[in-house]
Amino acid sequence: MKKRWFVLLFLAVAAAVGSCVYNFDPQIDGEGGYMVVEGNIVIGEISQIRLSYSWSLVDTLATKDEERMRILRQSKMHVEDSRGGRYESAMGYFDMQDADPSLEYRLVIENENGTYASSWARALSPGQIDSLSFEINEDRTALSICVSTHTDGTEPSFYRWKVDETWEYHAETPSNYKYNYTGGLDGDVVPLPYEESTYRCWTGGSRSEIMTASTEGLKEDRLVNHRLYSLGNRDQRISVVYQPKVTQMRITEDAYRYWEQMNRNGQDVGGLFSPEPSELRGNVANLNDPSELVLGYVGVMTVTRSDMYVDNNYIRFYRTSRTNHILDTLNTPADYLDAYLTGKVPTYDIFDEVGNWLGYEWWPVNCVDCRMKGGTTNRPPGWPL
Amino acid sequence: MKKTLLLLTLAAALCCSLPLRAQQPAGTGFGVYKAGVDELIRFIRTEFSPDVYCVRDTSDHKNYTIRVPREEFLQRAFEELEANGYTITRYDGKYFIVRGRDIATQLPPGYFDARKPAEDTSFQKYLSDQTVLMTFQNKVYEIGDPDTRQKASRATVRGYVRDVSSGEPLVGVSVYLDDGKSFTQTDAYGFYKLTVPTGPGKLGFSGYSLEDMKLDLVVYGDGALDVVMKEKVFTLKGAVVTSESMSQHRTPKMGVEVVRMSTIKNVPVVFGEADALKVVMTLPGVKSVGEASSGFNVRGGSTDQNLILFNEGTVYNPNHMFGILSSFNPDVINDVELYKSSIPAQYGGRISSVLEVRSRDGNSKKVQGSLGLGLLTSRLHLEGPLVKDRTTFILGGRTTYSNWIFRLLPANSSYQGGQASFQDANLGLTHKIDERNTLHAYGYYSRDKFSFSHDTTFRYRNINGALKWHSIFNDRHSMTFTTGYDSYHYGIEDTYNNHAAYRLNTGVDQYFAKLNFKSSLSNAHTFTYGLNATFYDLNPGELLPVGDSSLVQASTLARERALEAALYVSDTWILGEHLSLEAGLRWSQFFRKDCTRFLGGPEFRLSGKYSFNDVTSVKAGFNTMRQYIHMISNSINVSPTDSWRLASDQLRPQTGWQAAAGVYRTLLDNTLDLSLEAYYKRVKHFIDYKSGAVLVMNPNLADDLIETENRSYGIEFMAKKPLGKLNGWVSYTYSRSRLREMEDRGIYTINGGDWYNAPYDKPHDVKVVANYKFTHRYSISANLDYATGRPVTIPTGRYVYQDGLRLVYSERNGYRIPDYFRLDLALIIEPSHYLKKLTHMSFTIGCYNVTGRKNPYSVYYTADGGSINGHMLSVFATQIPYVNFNLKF
Repeated sequence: MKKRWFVLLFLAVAAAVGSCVYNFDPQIDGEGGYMVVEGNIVIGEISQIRLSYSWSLVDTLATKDEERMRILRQSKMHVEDSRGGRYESAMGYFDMQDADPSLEYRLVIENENGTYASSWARALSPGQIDSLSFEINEDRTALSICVSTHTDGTEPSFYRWKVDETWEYHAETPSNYKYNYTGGLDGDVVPLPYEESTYRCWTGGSRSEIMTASTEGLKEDRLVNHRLYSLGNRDQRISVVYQPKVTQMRITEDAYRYWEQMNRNGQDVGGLFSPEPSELRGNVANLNDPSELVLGYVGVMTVTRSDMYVDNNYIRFYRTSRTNHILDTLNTPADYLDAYLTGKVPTYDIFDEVGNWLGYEWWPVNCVDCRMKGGTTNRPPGWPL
Repeated sequence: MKKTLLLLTLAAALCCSLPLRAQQPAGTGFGVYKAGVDELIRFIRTEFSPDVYCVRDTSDHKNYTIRVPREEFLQRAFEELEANGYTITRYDGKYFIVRGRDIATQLPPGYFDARKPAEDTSFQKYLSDQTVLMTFQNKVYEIGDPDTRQKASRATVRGYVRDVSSGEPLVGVSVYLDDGKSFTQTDAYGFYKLTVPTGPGKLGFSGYSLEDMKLDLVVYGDGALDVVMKEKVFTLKGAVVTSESMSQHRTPKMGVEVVRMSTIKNVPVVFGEADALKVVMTLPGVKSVGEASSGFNVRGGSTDQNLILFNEGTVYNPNHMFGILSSFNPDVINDVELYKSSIPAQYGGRISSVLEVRSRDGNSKKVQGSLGLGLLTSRLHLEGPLVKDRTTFILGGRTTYSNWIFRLLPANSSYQGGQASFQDANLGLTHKIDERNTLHAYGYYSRDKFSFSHDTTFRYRNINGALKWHSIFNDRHSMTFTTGYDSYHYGIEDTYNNHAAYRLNTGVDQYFAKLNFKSSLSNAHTFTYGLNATFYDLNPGELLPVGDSSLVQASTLARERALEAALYVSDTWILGEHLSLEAGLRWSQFFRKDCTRFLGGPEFRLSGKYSFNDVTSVKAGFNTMRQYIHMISNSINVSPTDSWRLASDQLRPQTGWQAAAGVYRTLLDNTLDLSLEAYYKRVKHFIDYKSGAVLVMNPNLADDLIETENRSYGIEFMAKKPLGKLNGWVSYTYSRSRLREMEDRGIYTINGGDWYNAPYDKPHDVKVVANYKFTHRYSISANLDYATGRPVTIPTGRYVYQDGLRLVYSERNGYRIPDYFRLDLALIIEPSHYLKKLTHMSFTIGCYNVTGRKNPYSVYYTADGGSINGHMLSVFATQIPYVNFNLKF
């Protein structure tokens, strides 16, 4: 609730006094070598735990330490419950679908550096997502995805959300034709079957923000329209239909502080009034060497999910930035081949004022084939028409 | 017979210093018409008997008109004089006319046996109490009772030094005898007291930008001499003896820096607003974490370890506009004094330093004022007498129109709703009850409001009010009593989400009383002693919902109340010409109801000076300090969201000591002061923060804090030329300040329990402040600042977590940002020197950061999704030209 100031202050003060932020390379090599444990023990689902190592500031991913990779490959993981039950890892996945939510659980990792364990914890119920909504700010530059949730308890709750997102986007122009490339001049323009249309695409991913909030200091254990993250009005995600799928976890206060700090360390530093960054200890420790820093926090939780569709047709939020392309109106096979070989495709017919056919309009392929921007033409099940 | 002689000499000595004016009533009969006492006496002397002796009361301005026949005249004149409070004593055919006193025609029994002057004779006492107002120099002034000449070899001369035109007391004027041994300075009331050998001598007065004055004296005994001095108009040629350069070798105090407003106005600063605090930061041993921060660090201390006093009231946040300006109006400030080493025993409650900001007294002769226009603010001040020569006022106000800055922001930034505004107002009233008693009343108000978006507003305000009574009991004893109220409040209102809209308030209210006495028991000892009490009433946090739909639960942290009381005594002991010592003891005690621990203890203040000669001296000092109030902040800058907390069972008082030594030498005909000071300092229970500490509305705050010890040391070199065509100072400082967590918390201990750099640890520091006067009207000023970059915590590694790159931080403050360098220049055009012109205009044209260097404020990394980027924030990354216009009327 209150962490927002610092970001605001920092940016605004910087802007107000004509200050500038420059890219700057402090020339620090840093060092790698801290084990990172990512993932949670999710009761009632299949949980995934990923192990990795931190690396220095200068190395690229490709030069990661072979020695450490070997240790990771040799690490053995299991989850144990407070009654002695044991859930073995299968490539980092744990089948916790039948786990008893009333027990305490922890993660154990064994490798040649020692035995690592997370702290024992019992799953908290995830609360209930009352609604997902979105808000557009006054000057229509940002669209925020909001969540409302509550529990019936009186104690404050701490939440974390993970968002997987899917969105539909379109090529710049629809197309009625395609070119049958044969390698010679006999290639021809033929009508494009509907199934082969590359106008509508879908893609998705998961958001990397660590989203946390608490109801500390509120009258009820309730959040109303809490903003999770925002999209700008030129973000392709919101160009047609956008679907955030929100996974809500209720977490302990300890976990909340950890993830909040992790988020802050990456964003909220360096300003005039910013708190100094600092490293918090997670809940995973090397039992053989407690002083070893292990990054990450393994929570025990049950989750709840909700999703929604945001349709730009209704909100007219997205601003397109169309660029001018050089288009060719062509009507001879020789031109077709030339155009095709320079990365163009036929789209639609062009007629003059009196209705004489002049040729096909040829567009650059990346304006016609939406898959060029990374999506697929597979419509996700249940996607609105 | 001998008795007569005594009285004769007495009276004659006094009367000869009276200006004699002959004026006969024009064309009338016998008598006097509208004659002053002097004239009346003269008339009697010529007409009746030469043996009339009178001691005129300087405050007597009554005119006498007596028109009677000659035979009745004498009796009538005496009646009139008696009616006006004079006593006429006839002795041995002579008349002695004295106001308000009886003349003893008999000496007290045993007079000639007694070795000491018979002070109990009222006449003698009267003589020594007489004050002769000095206006010109070509005279011989006789001080005291001539007949006590044989009785003592030394006597005390005291009096006030005032400005000739405004009647304001002049502070810090050096008063010295030309034997080079007796020296003092006027205090905050313009009062001086100097022990001099009896007999003839020359008394010198010199002060910054004042015309030097030398008066011929013949001293017989204790007496008073009020002096008025003139502002120096021409300072182009000639060696000038300055109070500053002399004083360094006179006082045992170390590490005291005084900056006068005239200097402050010459130092170029950002946006051209003369700023007392920014000039303090140009002194050696004073550092700041970066530009746009008015918080300052003195000798390795933190920003909350400075006691900032404005006319005795404590100012908790001396900033306007998040630190771009200080909240002291330059038009009403007289001077600032910084104690960074030898902190007098009368001050306490902060570890590092005391910064005293004093406002001026209003002009006691005529109403005047000034108007200033700058880039950010406009200022107005008025001053003048309410009752001539008795009651004066000074009133100042500033307001800003800085919202234009926000309009320059690009339209697509989300700060178009941003605005910042501030106001401040000062009021000072001075009332002279009589020659010995003065009352001062001070009021101060400042408020700031800023918002960067439509939905978040920050506000804070300072209020200070104080009443001060200064009383001089007699030559040797004086008292100051001050009482007042200080208040600092801030609030944040956030309506970003109307279901979570809230307002957060915190504040400090304090009531204080200070009773200080000063007694010179003998020539060698000057004691100061007194009692200070401060009652704190803190609001550590109050959270309120805003609007009907807000779910925020109104909650309040328990108010913190406590009394800090202190007793102190201090002695300045002059052991001969070369050696003097100052020793002080202060016992401070903290009374807090919900505390079971005993919070209190002694503080020692020791310093000593040995002068080899007039221009070379060495000093050493040792201080201990205690601090019962802490600022809770985990940003490196003083931010408006910092809150103050009192010491408690969990949050122990900070304690510290400092040992320092220095060598001082004055060169080039007293115009160049060199000083070299070294110090070593330890502080315990200094607060730092656990990783991820929650500082706002945290009822268990102490759990998120850690106690550290601080170790600082440094060496400061300074060359200062206070006056002359070229004036200013050059300083170099090498200093370190490191922290170490006191408790061992195992793996959670910061830096594994090793020393780490304090965030304001900047080892090398070079500062130059210079002003060169081409003519009386044109001068240029330069300000140069070089410092090692401050330490920051930056990441040492990175990792992937939830599909994003994250940063690993390890050693706290382990990296230094690039060095800081800045040069500012200003051209100052003074008003024309026609003294009779009604208004005087002056301009300052300057440029901040002339070289346009992109000085780093911070260096940091951000993890923006898929990549890690290094950044450097530079606050004033370019030249900032400015023009400032001032009008005096």
